[in-house]
Order: sequence, then C-alpha cells, then structure tokens
Amino acid sequence: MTTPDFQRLLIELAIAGKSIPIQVLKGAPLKSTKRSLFALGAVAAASALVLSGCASTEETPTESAAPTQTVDATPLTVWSDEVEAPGLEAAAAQFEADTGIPVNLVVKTEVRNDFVAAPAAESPDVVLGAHDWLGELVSNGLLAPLELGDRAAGFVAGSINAFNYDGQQYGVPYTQENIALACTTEAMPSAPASFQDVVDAGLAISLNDGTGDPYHMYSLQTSFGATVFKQDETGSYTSELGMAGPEGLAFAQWLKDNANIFDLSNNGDIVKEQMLSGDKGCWITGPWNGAWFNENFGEDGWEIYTIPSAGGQPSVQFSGVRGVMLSANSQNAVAATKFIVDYLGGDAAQINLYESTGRIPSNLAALETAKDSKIAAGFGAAGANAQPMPAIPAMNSVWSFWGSTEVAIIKGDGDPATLWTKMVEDINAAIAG
Amino acid sequence: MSVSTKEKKTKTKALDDGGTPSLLGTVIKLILLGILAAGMLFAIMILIGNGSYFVAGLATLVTLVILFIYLRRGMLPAKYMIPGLIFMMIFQVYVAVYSGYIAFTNYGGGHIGSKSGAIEIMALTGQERVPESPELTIKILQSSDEIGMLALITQDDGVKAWEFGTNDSILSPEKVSGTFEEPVVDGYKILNFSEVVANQDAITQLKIPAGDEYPSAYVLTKDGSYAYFYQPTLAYDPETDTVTRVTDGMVFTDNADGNFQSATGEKLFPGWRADVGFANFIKAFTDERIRGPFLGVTLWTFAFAILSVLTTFAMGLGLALLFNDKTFRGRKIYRVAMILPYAFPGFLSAMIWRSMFNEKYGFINQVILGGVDIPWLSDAWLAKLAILFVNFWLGFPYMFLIVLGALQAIPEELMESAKIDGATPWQQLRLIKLPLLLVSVAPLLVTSFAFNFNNFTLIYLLTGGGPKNIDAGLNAGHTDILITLVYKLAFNAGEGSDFGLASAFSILIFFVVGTISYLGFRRSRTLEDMN
Repeated sequence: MTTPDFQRLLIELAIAGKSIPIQVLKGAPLKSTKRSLFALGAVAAASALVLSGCASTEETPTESAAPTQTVDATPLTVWSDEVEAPGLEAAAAQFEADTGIPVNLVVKTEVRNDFVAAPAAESPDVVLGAHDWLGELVSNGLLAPLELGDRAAGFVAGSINAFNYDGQQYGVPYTQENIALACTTEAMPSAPASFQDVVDAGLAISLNDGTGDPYHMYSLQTSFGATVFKQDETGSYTSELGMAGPEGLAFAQWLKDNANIFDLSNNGDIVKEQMLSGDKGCWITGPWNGAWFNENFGEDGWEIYTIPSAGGQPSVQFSGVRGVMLSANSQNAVAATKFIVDYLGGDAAQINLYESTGRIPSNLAALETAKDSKIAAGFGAAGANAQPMPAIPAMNSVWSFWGSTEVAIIKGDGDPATLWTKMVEDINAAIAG
Repeated sequence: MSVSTKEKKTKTKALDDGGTPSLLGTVIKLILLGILAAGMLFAIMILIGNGSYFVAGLATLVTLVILFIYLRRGMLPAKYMIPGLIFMMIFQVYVAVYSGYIAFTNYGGGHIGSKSGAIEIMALTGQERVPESPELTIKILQSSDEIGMLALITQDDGVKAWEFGTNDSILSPEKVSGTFEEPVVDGYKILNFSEVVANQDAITQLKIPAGDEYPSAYVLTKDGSYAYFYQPTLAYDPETDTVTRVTDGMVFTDNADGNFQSATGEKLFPGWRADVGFANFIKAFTDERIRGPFLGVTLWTFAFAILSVLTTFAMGLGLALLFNDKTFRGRKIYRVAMILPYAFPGFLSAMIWRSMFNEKYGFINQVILGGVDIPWLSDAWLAKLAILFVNFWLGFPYMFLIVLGALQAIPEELMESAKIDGATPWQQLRLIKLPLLLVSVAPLLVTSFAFNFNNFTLIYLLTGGGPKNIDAGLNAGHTDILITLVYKLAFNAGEGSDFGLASAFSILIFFVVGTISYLGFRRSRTLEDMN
C-alpha cells in the first residue's frame, strides 16, 4: 500500500468516523492489500473493544444502523466454509467489477455458531449454510427474507422450498445432498434386490465411535414408516413426533434383532479401511465421500444404489440443502441482496460453485453440466425419495436422544420398546422445554 | 529463609526515586507510548463513530491513566502493576461481572437481540408477497427531497409501460414522459447502482401504495432492481405496544419475559433479551430433568476431582523421591521422558487415548491385550476408570515437577540430623519431608482440584460424557461432570443455546469450587503456621 492511500484512508475515517468504512480508491492496489487494510481496521477495532473492556453486544441493530451515505463502497462480508469459498471468487470479482463494491470472503470453520453468537455490528452481510439452520436463525431474528421472484424457476423446486420457513424465503440454494448406498462393484455388481443382499455383501454404517448416527440410520428407520416428525397437509413438519407410534417400536425391535449388523466401534476412517480391505462391500454414505471412492476404486470400481428397504416400506433419506442467506443485521442489504439474487443465484456462479465444490447442484443449468458426473447423477437418482431434514427448532432436541437410544438398543442395554418409549418421552419433554 | 526486609526497603526506595533514565531508554519509552496512544486514538474514533460513547470514554480514561503513570517520574510500583491490572480487569473482572449479569437474563436462543431489533425483524418478516402477483422491473429515482420508483407495469391492453410512484402517491403513468427506453420524470434523476447503494436505507423504506388492484398491499424493493407487491401479516402498534396478526386478528402483548405472547399462550419469535430475575437459578434447582441425574453427576464430579489429585500426587511424589536420590544414574534422561505427557497439548492426548481405547480396533485391546473386546468407553465403570487413567497420565508429570522442586528446597541438614537421631526412611518421609512439602505444595493441590472439578476438555473429548445413562431424562451420561452436564443442558435446548441458564450454573459451580478452595487454602495456612 502506498503512503498517500493510507493517509487518505485515515482522513476519511476521521471524517466519517464510522466502523471501518473503506473507500476503495481508483487504481487501488491488489485485493490482498485491501484485505490487510481491512484487517488492520478490524484489529484496531477489536483491540479497542478488548482494551476498553466492554463489548458492543449492548447495541441494538437500530443504533448501529447509522447511514453511510458519504461512502459508496462499504465492502460486503461473506461467511462460508472452506470448500465453497473458492467457488465464490469469480462472482465476487464480477460483482466488484460491475458495482465497485468489494466482497470479503471469510472462511469460517463454525459458520453456524459464529453467526448466532456474533454481535450485530460484527455480523456478516451474507452467509452460506444449510437449510436446517433456518429454525434457529429465524427464531433468533438473524435472517432477512429474500425474494427470488421469477428466478426461482431456474432451481430444483425442492431446494427452493427447503429454504422456505414460515412462508418466507430465506435463501438461494446451490446444492442439495442425500445419502445412498455406495458399493464396490466387486461386492455388488448390480443393484441389490433386498436388504439381506446388502448385509451379505458386508454393510458398513458409521456409528461415530459408538455415539450413534441417527442421520444415517434414518434411511433404515423410514423403511418401517417411522418418520421423525409428522408432516401437515402442506408438507411442513409439525413438532409432533412421527416415530412415537408402533412403526417406531417395530424399528426398535428390528434394531435389537439385527444388532450384529452394526459395529459400535467404527467411525468413518475405520469404515474406509474396511472397504479397502474388502471386509465390507457397501457403505451407506453421501456424496462427500464420492471423491474418495473414485480415487480408490476408479470410476468403474464402485456404484451408487438406492438403499433397499429393511422394513417393507421405501427407504427415505434426509436431504440437506445448502444455500446463500442474507443477514438481518446487514448494513448493506441492497448490495447484499443484489449479490445473492443476481450474482450467486445466476447460472454462471452456480456452475462455478458446482465445479469447485463438486456438490450436486440445485440450479437447473448447473445440473445440466453435472449430468455426466457419476457422483452428482448417482446420488441424485438414488435420493429421489429424499425429504428435507426438518428445520424446526424442535429438531435440535432430537439428535442426541435419538442417537444414544439407538446405541443403547444395539448394545442390548434393555428392552427396545422401553428404551424407545423413554426416548420419545425425553424428546417431548425437551421440546416442551 | 526470607530476604532481609531492611535490604528490600532501601532497594525500593532507591528505585522509587527513579535514578537517572538513559536517553535511549527515554526514546524507546516515548516511541512505545506514542504507538499506544495512536492506536487508542484510532480505536476511540471508531467507537465514537459507532455511538459507543461509554466505551470510548472508558478507553480515553485508561489511555490517560497509562500515559500519566509512565510519563511521570517515580511511581515505580504502579508502572509494574498497571499492565497486569488492566489485563485482570478485562479478562477476569469484566468476564465475571458480565457472566453474573447474564445469569439474570434470558439471553440465549430466541432471545439474542433487543426489543426494538425484534420489532424491526417482525416488520420485515411480518409481510408476505401477494400470491400470484407479478414481479416488477424497476428504476429508482431521486428528487431534491425524496425517493421515487419507476416500475414496469403491464397495462390493461397487455402492453408494458412505466409507472411512477412515491411513498405518498400510488403508481401511475401520469408523470412519466420520455421514451420507453429512456423514461423521464420531471424533477427526478434516475440513480445508478452505486447511488442506489448509497441511499439504501431510504430505498428499502420506500413503501408505495399498490392502488385498486391489490387494496391493502404495497410495493417494496429489496435490491433496487426488482419490486414486488406485499401485504402485511403482522402489525405492530407502538401506542399499545402490541402486535396483531392480520389473518386472524390475534393480539400479542409483551409478556415481560422477552416475547410477544397471545392470550392463548402462543409466542412470536424472535424475542429479545429481558431481565428475568432469579428464574434461571430457580430452574437450576427445580427442573425435573436436572434434578434426576444431578446427585450422581455431583458425586462423580467430586470423585473424579479428588481421585485425580490423589493419584497424580502419589505418583509424582514417588517419582520425585526416586529421582531426588543422587545415586540414581541417568536421572536427567528419565526426567525429560517423564515430562513428555505434560508437554503434549491435553486435547490431543485425549483424542489419541480415545482411539486407543476403541473396543474393537483400539491399540490397547488389539495389541497390548492381544485381541480382546473390553468395552473401555462404553461400560459405565470402565469408562470412569479410563478417564481417571488418562487424567493420571496427563497429570503426574506436573505433580512430579512441583514435588521435585519442593523436595530440593528441603535443607540437607534436616535429613542428616534425622538420620543421626535414628529415624527410619519411612519416618523421615512421614514426619519431615511430607509436612515440609505440603507447606509449599498444598495450595497447588487445591488449585489442581479446582481445575479438575471443571476439566471439561478431557471429559468432552474422551467420552463426551457417555455412555448414556438410560435412566436419566436429560441426556446425561455416566461420566458427565457438572460442567459437561451444564454444557449439554445449556447448549442443546429447544431453540439453541441458553446462555442465561449456563451462566447461572457457572455461578453455582463457582460457589462450590470457591468454598472448597477457601477451606483448602485455610488448611494449608495452618500447615504453614506449624512450621
């Protein structure tokens, strides 16, 4: 950075006296310098907060909503995970070229927790995340609704709907994923006719070192008709448990009778070793392990199948949709909305995101480019039945009880019906608070 | 053993007078203070810009105090104390006071922001797009005193034409002149995108009455490029401080607990942070889900903390006695090897031990025990044993270090005279070494107890509190200690985290640990007096 630039910045700051309003000068230096300057401001601001021993959490959004009329290039801040950040770079550069507004891409390892915990002043403008966060984020008033208008037609309808919460659209999707049965062709050359075939070929299902994994187990549970929450006529989940009835008990009994299929000691890494050594032939897993299969078995060495029914009814998986959301605390909402809807929601950015993440696209044009990809097409086809994971806040209360009860049944820690009934009671008590 | 107090006094006095500082020293001091002052000035400017006047004032005061103390001659004790004091205020006092405050609020999931923020959000979410209404392509215009909108509307004859409207006037084609490609409204200028961004607050507040076609609706834009017809679903009335749902006329009033609530008990979200008095403490003592597993967890917490201190201290003491023997060969190499477990980051060790304890594939069952299936982490008692063992492994080097240091401070003459008096080695240990050791080590044992009482990392990473106690309604496990139980309770609640309840619990745990530490320290002072 040249000295005059820095001086001008300081002068501007002195005039504006705002929270890091940085005007990017014509012919400004490289992006990285801008970022470091931004970082400098942020560090100074942060140290000021620390040194003065008080946080700005007291502020209300209204108070910090000081207008920034004099400065026309407040940067947008985008939080994402490390996999999707590279896919956003082209859209960010295009946006800056068109509008003069720089976009700061910030990689976070704990996007959800950080976003919930961030004080209003430090909240990003745009955040990438999963649709099942909506319950928590919306009930905390952290998201602003978006309106996609006619551009919604360019997406898989289910993905758009996953970001609809209480009648409002809160995100533009870019990928949806679901689990399926991935088998080596050696163990399972063609689609299995029955669940028993899969068991005979060696079924692996990760149970996270014995802490349980209800997300993967759900694909077996639903084949008994035991959905997690009941759905109303519009397809929205209610907070009434669907697995409380006889269907849930039937699954619990089946789990006990077939406990030998499940290995409480394994985890993802151990399953990979078992697949490589041939101990196991099939793994219930998702597209995130597709690249690993391609690498170790070759494109033709493995296949993706629909999970056969264990309990008589079709197996239904959870689908998870990821997308782009607008923070309710954004001080730059107009620019952020344009960036989300017109840039990240556009075909080019969606194709970029697909190409850099390898995740199955939600955008129809991107889906077209992905149709030759084994992972995208295979998991997409196998998940035709998939239902969006419930986004309602009550879902938070379900996971840990659910997982530990399944583990207890597999371990033989008691009568499956008793354990399952107790689990339903505990979850209902937790939902009631 | 103490330094002569007289000598100390004269030294302090000499230093207090300040001596003559060197030129270089003065220059370096001025540069450092200058950097500090510049940084603080920058920070204060930003704080004032954000409207945080109280914090800005505090920062100014702190800066002035620092400058005053360091620019003045003398005041030597203050010069040493001030950095430590400032950091103590920030990292200890402020955090403690803030947690104390949070414990009396409902801060947590659904209650994060302020009431005005919640009302603002409800204004955003309490409206919906009119079903089947068209999407409008728009342009934003500005006159000297207001913002207006040009929208492309499909006319009755099916032809698209520009219509103009503002906050006060419905969309109509009357004021629009110029061509379809370049529409003109007299007195108004069409804004480009950067001008739109610069005026975004005014633009997002633009609410144009929709006119006859959609009577209660209005036109809004969120990005300055497209607009839609919206109708309200929630209406806030500032006069009565109530929210009314348009669809069924249900009225929601402020329930004083941080929510708008209807007569039927239905709550609107988001809520806001409200003072709830002792509600969190009452919940901590009366909630059925907490009371059930509470006794077992408390007992195990004490057992874990006490046993951890005892086992590590016993091992550390034994090793220290062994290594303090001068006839022992290769002491230094062994000592270094002993300290290794302490040198690794604790969380890393916990995770490695977790995989070593794996029932089927772990190193311990597979290699050391030759292929057995011992459920180290999934059996209630074995998991407790495993935790104690790992904590033993992590903790004994520390005890070894401090005991060794204390042993070496015991004068040789004492032991020699004991020997001459005919004391057996056991008597020497029990009657001379141990009492002298405890004088210096006892306070460290107390802090070690306090540390283990809240040893969240080890429990969380090694067993996660599991295996689950299937009788407990709360998701408590057999190896959960109080702090991990609080974590599960406070951060797995229905609507996400409950910081208020977590703070209330931390205060309760603080009182437990504080009381025990106080008793412990008082006891170790008695030991000191005995000598």
